[in-house]
Amino acid sequence: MDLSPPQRQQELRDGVAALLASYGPSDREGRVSSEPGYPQLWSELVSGGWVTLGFPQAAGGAGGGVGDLVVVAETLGGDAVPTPLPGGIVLCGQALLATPGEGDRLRALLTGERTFTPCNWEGFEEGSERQSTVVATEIGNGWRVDGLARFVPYGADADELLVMVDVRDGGTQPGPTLFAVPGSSSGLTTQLVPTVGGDRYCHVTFSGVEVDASHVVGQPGQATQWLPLVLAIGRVMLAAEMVGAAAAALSHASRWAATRLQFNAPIGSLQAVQHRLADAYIDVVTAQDSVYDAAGIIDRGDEARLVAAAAKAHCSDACRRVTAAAHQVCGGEGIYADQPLHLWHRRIAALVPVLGTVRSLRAIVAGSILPAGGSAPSLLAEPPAR
Amino acid sequence: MTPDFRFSAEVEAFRDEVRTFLNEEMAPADTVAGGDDGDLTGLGEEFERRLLRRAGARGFLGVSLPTKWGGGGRPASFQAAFNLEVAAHDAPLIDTAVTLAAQPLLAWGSPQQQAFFLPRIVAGELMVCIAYTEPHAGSDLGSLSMVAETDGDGFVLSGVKSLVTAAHKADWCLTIARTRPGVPPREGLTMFLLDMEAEGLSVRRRPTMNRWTLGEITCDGVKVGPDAVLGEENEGWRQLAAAVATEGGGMFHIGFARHLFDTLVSYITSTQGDVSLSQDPILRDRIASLHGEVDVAERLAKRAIWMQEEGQDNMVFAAMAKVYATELLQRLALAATDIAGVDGTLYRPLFGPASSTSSGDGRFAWEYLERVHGTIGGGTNEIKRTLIAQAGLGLPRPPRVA
Repeated sequence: MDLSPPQRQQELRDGVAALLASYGPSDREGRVSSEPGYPQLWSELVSGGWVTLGFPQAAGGAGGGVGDLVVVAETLGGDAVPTPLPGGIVLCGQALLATPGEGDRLRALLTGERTFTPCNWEGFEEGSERQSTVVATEIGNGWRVDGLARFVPYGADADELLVMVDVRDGGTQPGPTLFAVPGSSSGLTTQLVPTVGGDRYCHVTFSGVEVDASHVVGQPGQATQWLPLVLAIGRVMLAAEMVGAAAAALSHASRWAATRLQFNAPIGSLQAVQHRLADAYIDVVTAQDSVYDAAGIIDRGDEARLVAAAAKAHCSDACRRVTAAAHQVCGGEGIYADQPLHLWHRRIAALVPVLGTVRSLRAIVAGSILPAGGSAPSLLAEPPAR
Repeated sequence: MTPDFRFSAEVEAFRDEVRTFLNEEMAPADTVAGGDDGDLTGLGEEFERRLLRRAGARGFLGVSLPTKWGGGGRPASFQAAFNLEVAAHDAPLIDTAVTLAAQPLLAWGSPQQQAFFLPRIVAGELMVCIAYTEPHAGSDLGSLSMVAETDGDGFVLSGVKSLVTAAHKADWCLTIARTRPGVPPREGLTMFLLDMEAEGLSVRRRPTMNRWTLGEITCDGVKVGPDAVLGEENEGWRQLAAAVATEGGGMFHIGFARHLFDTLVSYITSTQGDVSLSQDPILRDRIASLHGEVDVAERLAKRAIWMQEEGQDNMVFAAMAKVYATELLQRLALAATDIAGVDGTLYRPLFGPASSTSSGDGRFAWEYLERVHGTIGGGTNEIKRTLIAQAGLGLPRPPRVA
């Protein structure tokens, strides 16, 4: 047991916080309704090597482990900054890292030379019964891609979309396969969808998009080999961002409670307020430790799928309780858009359903404890019935 | 590089040793015959004293106490791992002597007191109960009214202490009384070590809702010498605050929780009905959630213990661990009785001839009653939340009411 915060991680925290501070709180509104990927800050994060931690230096990354990267995600969450880090860097980069022969694409991603985004990744895990809504059919020397991918982060901005497709290869069904489809492809259209967060989600339609064989990432069906670990890392990243947002909301509410006078006393001296914030503090601490524990397990190379799923489920519940408590304590003032509380509140709300809702994550955990049962599919997997 | 929540290999090896010991000592043949369901442990005093001595002889009891007094001198994780296993085995070894009396003795005991008590506690030869609470002084310990009047160079104690775990079988008692009248509530208090055989001291076993008894100790002119004072005269409040602050992460709660969770899972997987329970998606969601919560509770307890080992002030984190674990135990017991349906109302003691023999066979209702007191004892969860808010988040104290 060693729970000491490593010096390096404190330096990371300070470094990212200093970078964020240089943008100032006046830009907060911009982060929510952001222009593509909040470009200036993002390019500084990439060029500074802050977001390519957890990737080996030999591959073009900044070295270190997921334990370093979660500190960066936490700090970004603390400022409610939506970025392509969890999707465009971590999911895409880890997928490329895990696939032999993808060194060129990975280097382009890690150096910022080209931008990537995950597309249609939800619901392909073992135990999920999802039929993909994006299909690739073999044509001559390449493939034709058709279908609809919903909720693609930065879908209109990425140079390349890493699309999870079902391959129709004669009679065989090799399983989920990753395709690298250029965002500029003919037949690819994007529609920006307004969400509570600021990740520039798009619905992406593929209508007869043709790519040659070099656009298949690895071999058809190979995605199932790396998907469990990559999703685990992605979930821990999302959870870390939620933790940062929740911790910031709690300290904001605590400061407010300590100074806001009603009945001639700070409201923070009232037991009803103290106890609610004490519970919020427990939520923050336990959420944070679930992230650190999972990150450590990933970095040690131990089985991480369940612990990551459980961590994100816990953080989803705990962090939403925290912002709800913070809002209640901050009262009317907290609901103004020029106050920061809603930014953390909505940031967490936006992250909760990504890479598995709470109930689908719990279905994964339950599968490890109880005999096989039906799994709850991701809410993102299928369009809702109208 | 990243925080590592695993016990070290040495602690795990020790834990294995403890587990093997407990599996032998707590084998059903030994625990079925001599039950006493009027005792918290559900086992008779004779069984318990024998087990204490055997655990002491193995070096388990004082594993984290100083070697000078016969302890193992190992970090607090060893004691925590011991408590975890003991709780998971329903063994009567969560001993107030080691967990609650040893630290005040180490901190303030005279050389004679340390030399008398500590080696005997480590050997499992002495049971020491803790008697701070009074009928009219629970959370508000400053209002306690047991008096210790000066009598020559000694004292005469009069008053009542309540909610004392294991008072009926303890050899000694660590208590606190008012030695100076007419001063503010937190001044003029002194800690005492009382021989439970002392003249004028009597114990009433008062049954709890779950059958076992919590003792009420009455001192009716109990005479003690100056050597009965623990620490400084009139420094009792400061000592008490420090004693409460050094309580560990409550790892025994994690043992209880893991045991109950495992029992519930085995009940679910072994129960055959028209529809297998384990296929119910709502139940699966609840089980997965509870599984995560047990892990959360364990990490919190481990953080509190780690801070203690590092010499950091862990008061806020120990309070968090206590609040979270005791409320989780209530959620677990609620889920178990809920899921078991009418089976969940079967009530049997843990040990003795009428004990439950399989999961769900009387255990869940026992748990449902048993887990009520955890959120009250050792400082109510409300008191702990106030501490977390004030010491942890820096929230202001309420204005004094005149």
